[in-house]
Formats: sequence, structure tokens, C-alpha cells
Amino acid sequence: MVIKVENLVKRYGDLIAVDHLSLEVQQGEIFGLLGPNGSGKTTLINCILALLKYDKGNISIFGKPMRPDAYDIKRDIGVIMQNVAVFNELTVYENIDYFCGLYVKDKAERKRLVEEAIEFVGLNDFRSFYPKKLSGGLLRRLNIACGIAHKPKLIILDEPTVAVDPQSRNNILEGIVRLNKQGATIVYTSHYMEEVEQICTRIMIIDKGRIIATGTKEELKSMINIGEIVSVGSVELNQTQLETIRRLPNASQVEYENHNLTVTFAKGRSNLLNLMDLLRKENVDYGSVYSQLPTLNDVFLEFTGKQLRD
Amino acid sequence: MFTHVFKYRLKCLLRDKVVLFWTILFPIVLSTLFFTAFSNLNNAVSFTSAKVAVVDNEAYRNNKPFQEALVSVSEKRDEQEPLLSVELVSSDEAETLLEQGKVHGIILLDPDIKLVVKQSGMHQSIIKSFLDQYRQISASYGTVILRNFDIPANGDTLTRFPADDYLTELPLGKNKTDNTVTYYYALLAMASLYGAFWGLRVIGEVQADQSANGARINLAPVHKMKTLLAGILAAWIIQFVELSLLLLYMILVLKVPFGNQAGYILLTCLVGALAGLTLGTLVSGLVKRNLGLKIGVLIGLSMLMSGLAGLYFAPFKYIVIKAVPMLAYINPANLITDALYALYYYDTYHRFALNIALLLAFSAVFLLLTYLTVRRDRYASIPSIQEDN
Ligand SMILES: Nc1ncnc2c1ncn2[C@@H]1O[C@H](COP(=O)(O)OP(=O)(O)O)[C@@H](O)[C@H]1O
Ligand SMILES: [Mg+2]
Repeated sequence: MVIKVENLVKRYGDLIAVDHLSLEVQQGEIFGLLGPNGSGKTTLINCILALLKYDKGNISIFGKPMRPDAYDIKRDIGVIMQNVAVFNELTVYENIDYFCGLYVKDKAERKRLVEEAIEFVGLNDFRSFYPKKLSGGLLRRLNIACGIAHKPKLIILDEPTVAVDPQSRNNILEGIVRLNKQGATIVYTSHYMEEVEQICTRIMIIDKGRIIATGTKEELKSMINIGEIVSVGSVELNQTQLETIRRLPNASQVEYENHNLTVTFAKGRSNLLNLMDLLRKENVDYGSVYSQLPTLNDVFLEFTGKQLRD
Repeated sequence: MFTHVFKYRLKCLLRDKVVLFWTILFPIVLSTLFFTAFSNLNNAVSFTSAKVAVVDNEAYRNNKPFQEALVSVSEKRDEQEPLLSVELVSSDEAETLLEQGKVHGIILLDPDIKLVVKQSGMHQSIIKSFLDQYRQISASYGTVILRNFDIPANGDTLTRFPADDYLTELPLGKNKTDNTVTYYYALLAMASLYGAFWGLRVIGEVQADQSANGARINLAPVHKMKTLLAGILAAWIIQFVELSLLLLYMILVLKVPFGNQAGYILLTCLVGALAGLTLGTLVSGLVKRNLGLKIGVLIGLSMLMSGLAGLYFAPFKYIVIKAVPMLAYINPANLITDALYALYYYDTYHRFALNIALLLAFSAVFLLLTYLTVRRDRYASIPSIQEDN
């Protein structure tokens, strides 16, 4: 067990930011913490890291209680906070060296680690740049390098891809998977479900400081009764035809707007085929057909009644 | 570990152009401004003597008191130019000298004392003021003959000059009480207090609720007080070097008299730097998040303190000390200026030592209070929008 949180409660005045939350992160996981803005992800992370006071609960890391002075635990943790934390007066190299030096005393060892980190995030051409001269994406990469240079066993990333261009985002996501392959346990928070689906081996969805659901993405999707969502574009339908579609087996929701048809099917066999057959029989022309498996957004929607996206 | 953090703290602070500006460049510019302002002021009430031709006649030779008075204002004192530079000549020669502009006026005893001038001006009014003074003392006064018709016959223009003050003040000054020195001392005190801006930065960078970097530092396996001390030490050294540079500039370039006890003056800088720095760490620890408010409080405090120590109006220092004697002892700026005074004016180090001890005591209190405000290791709340990056 890498992280164990039991019954954590954190209040800001009247607001309950983390509400009786428990979780366990296992060795070798990429654990995703997914929730909309303000759902309590950062607060939870800051409590786990013993930065924040909390009202109730127990937190242990590597099997030991986590405290501000638990330096033996801290030595094996790398954190990438949601706010970029680098010194504007230090170059890329100096920033990484400074933070790495808080963990690693040996100079030669540190030099090697810093070089490796620079290589890892692809900032070789920018090593003598000051942060102000870096683009948003490169700055985020520097932020990551500062957090991981000391080769931590547990890496916690809080929304590391906010305001990042797609290229840097891919670079970052691939990097996280590589770190995991090298043996690090990862905790990854985000409000982008695509990212979480892409890299996380296990996902916890939270809202208003409470757990909505936990599991692999397949498990999460199987929790809701949606098999697929079929969209048909540029299609002309009358009321009778719509009624027939509504009576199709497994069809749980049918929407028709601006010549676009969206049918949500519960789990079942040949849902798409049934719809296609019906359209052919009715001699209906259509522009496009697109079938989608349920997303984590659908899971979130089903449990909370609102969209995950902003 | 300590040296690692210390080295990088030095690097960061030395590259912080904004704070460097306020802590070294600004005081140097301000002292230069003071210098130009004072030298203009001094030229205006010039120490170049007023040249006067005294007609060497019978009446003059018989008037011993007047001769003595003349001698007393035409002697050089303490390196300063005498008030009058006197030439004893015949009345014809005197006329020529005045005509050629080689003297500012002619004094003629007839036996009443008469002043002859060609035009009005500061020097002329100095001579007249001298004669006025003499008249008050001797009650034997002559008439002023004005040959220049532009000037009202009653001589109003002449008496309007502020030379009266000058005349009464100068001969009395036995020791060179140089008021301008107060300004420079207060400026050095202000520069010391500006060390507070380093303190502000140093605290912000170890507090997780004040900066993202602070959060990162708090996550590292290093005691927060260790990083804080490394930061304070780096800031202290930088501020001390800056004050020494300012001091050197004032002594070597602006020729401000600081006495010649370099070691003690440097000690004052060292302790002053610490007082300013720790004042900054305290304010930064107390005023948690609002950077603007922090800077405002610090600027306000340092302006108030150095103001009370005579930065804007030198006599204020004495007025304040007379009215509220306590203030002299609880105002760090005043302690700094007073330490410098004590060095300059007193032969014993008693008063100097008292000032330094008080400054050290203040620094210790500030530091202790800072420790109490920043020592807790878990934060109640960490705002997500940070101000530093
Ligand atoms: N320092 C704070 N003071 C008061 N309320 C806060 C503070 N930080 C966060 N909150 C509130 O707590 C809730 C959770 O915030 P946060 O943990 O930042 O969420 P997330 O990281 O998921 O966006 C939000 O409602 C937010 O407004
Ligand atoms: Mg957050």
C-alpha cells in the first residue's frame, strides 16, 4: 500500500471541501483522481502531503503516518503542484538542480539526475533559459522536471496539463507512463476525462469532496447502464418514425434536433444494427453514423446529474 | 544542505532586480539628489565672502569698537570663508574698486557709518546686515547711500534678504553643526529599513500559503527553519554589502562627514541591515497573503520611521525626541542615525553602544516574533492563486 486515506474531512469554514473520503493507492498504479473544478482534488492532495490541516481522518504513506516532519517519507515523494513552482531568477538547469539538491546531497549523483531529468522532459535546448522565456508548455515541463529529478517512488501530479499545447500535453502524458514503467507509483489529478482514461490504471471520480465511483475505466463504465450512444447526422424523420425508433430494444433515450438523431442504448446485442435496419426499411437517407461507447462523462452524468465538463 | 540552499538563495536574491533597485540604486540616487539640493542651497547663502572697501580715514581709525567688529567677521574660522573680506583704502581707491566691481560695497565712517553700494545682491545685504547688527550693538549708525536709482531709496530690497539669520547663526557656530548630515544619516537609516524587502521575499519563499515555491520547499525533506535561516543569512549579507556601498558612495563621492571610525560605522550598517531585514520578515509573516498590503505596510513603516529620524526635515528628529522621548528608543531608524551621531560627536562609545544594543534587541524580538508566526508546519488554507509566478 503506497497511500492510505481513511475518513478524511477538511472544512474551509462552512464549506466541506473533502467529505469523509477514504482511498487506497497500490504500488505500481497510475491512480487517477477525476473531478470537475472545485471538487476537492487539490485539497485532498495537500492533506495527503501534510501541507494542510484537516478536521478528521488518518493518512499514511508507505505504511507510515504522514506528518510534516516525516522526512524519510518525503524523500521518496515527488510532487508537481497545479501552480508552477520555479524561481524566475534561476535558469532551467539551476531550478532543477536547486530542488533536486533538497533531496540528493551527493554532487556527482545530483548532476547525473539533473541531466536525466532535463533529457526526460526534453528541455535540453533550453537548459540556460530563464522561466520567463519559456512557453506555457515548456514551463510545465520544467515544473515537472523539478518535481521528479530525485527519482521518487511516489509521484503526485495535480493538473499538470492545464493551459498546455497539445504537443506538450502528449509529451507530459507519455512521460508519466514512462515514469510508471520505471517503477514509480503515480497519482494523477485532472478534470480532463480523456487524459485520465488514456493513462490511468484505476480511477476515482469525486464531486463536492465525495467519492462518486472508483474502478478501472471499464469497471466504471459497466456501472452505468449505457451500452453505446449512436449519432446519425443529416437525417429527415417524422413523428411516426421517431416513435418506432423509441420502441427499439434497449433504446433508453432518443433525441432529435437540427436533423441530428442521438440514440442512447442500454447494454445489449446488435443495437446499432437494429437502428440501421429500421432506417433502411423506412427508406430514410442520412449523412453519417457514429457509434460511441460511454465515456467517463456519461458515468459522471449518470451519478451526479450534471456534466463533468465545464 | 545548508550551503546548497544558501548558495542558491544568494543567486536568486542577487538577480532580483526590483529589490536591488530599491535597496541600493534608489538610496544612491536619493543621496545624490540630496547632495545637489544641498550644494545649491549652500551656494545661495554663499560662503564666498562679501568684499568690502573700508575707507581708511580719521573717523575709522578712532572707532576701535568698529575695527574689532570688522576683524571678528573677516577672520577665517574652522575652514569656513569669513563673512567679509576687508580692504583698507583711500576714499578714491574705494570708489574705483566699487566702480570696477571689485568690491560689493564701501563702508565710510563720517563719523556715522555709511554704506555705499552700486546694486542690490546677497553680498550687499550681508554687509548691510553686518552693519545693522553693529548698529544694534553700538547704537551708532550712519546712513546708507544708494547710488543705484533702480533701488527704492528706503533700501527695502536690501533688508528683505534672509541674511539676517545667516549673520546671527554663523558666528555663533562653534562646532560645525552641519544640518545636512542629518539627512544623509536618515537616508542610511531608510536604506537599512529597505532591507525589509529582502525579508519579505525570504519569508514568502518558505511559506506554502504564500507562494508555490514555498509549497514545494515545504514538501522537501528539509526543515523549514533551515531554509529560512539560509535565506535570512543570504539576505543579510547582501543588504550589508549594499549599505557599505552606499556608505562608500556618500563618503568618497558626496564627501558626507561620517567621522573616521570605519569599523564602527560598518558595524552600524551590519546591525541596521539586520533590523530592517527582520522587520520585513515579521511584517511578511503577519500579513499573510496580500503582497500589495505587505509592500504598502513596509513602505509606510520605513517612511514613517526614517521621517521621524529626520529624512524629510532634519529638525523633526529633535522635535520628536523632545515631545515623545520614548520614540527615540523604539524607532529603529532613529537608533541607526543616533548611532552614527554618537560616533561623530562623542568621544566615548557609551551612547553608540546603547543604540547598537537596542537595535540588536529589536532584531531579536522581530526574529522571535517571525519565528512564532511561521513556525507551524501545517497550513489552515492554501490559496490556489499565487501571486509570485
Ligand atoms: N484556501 C481556500 N479557502 C477557502 N476555500 C477553498 C480554499 N481552497 C479551496 N477552497 C474551496 O474548496 C473546494 C475544493 O477546492 P479545490 O481543492 O481547489 O478543488 P479542485 O482542485 O478539485 O479544483 C472549492 O469549493 C474551493 O472553492
Ligand atoms: Mg485543483
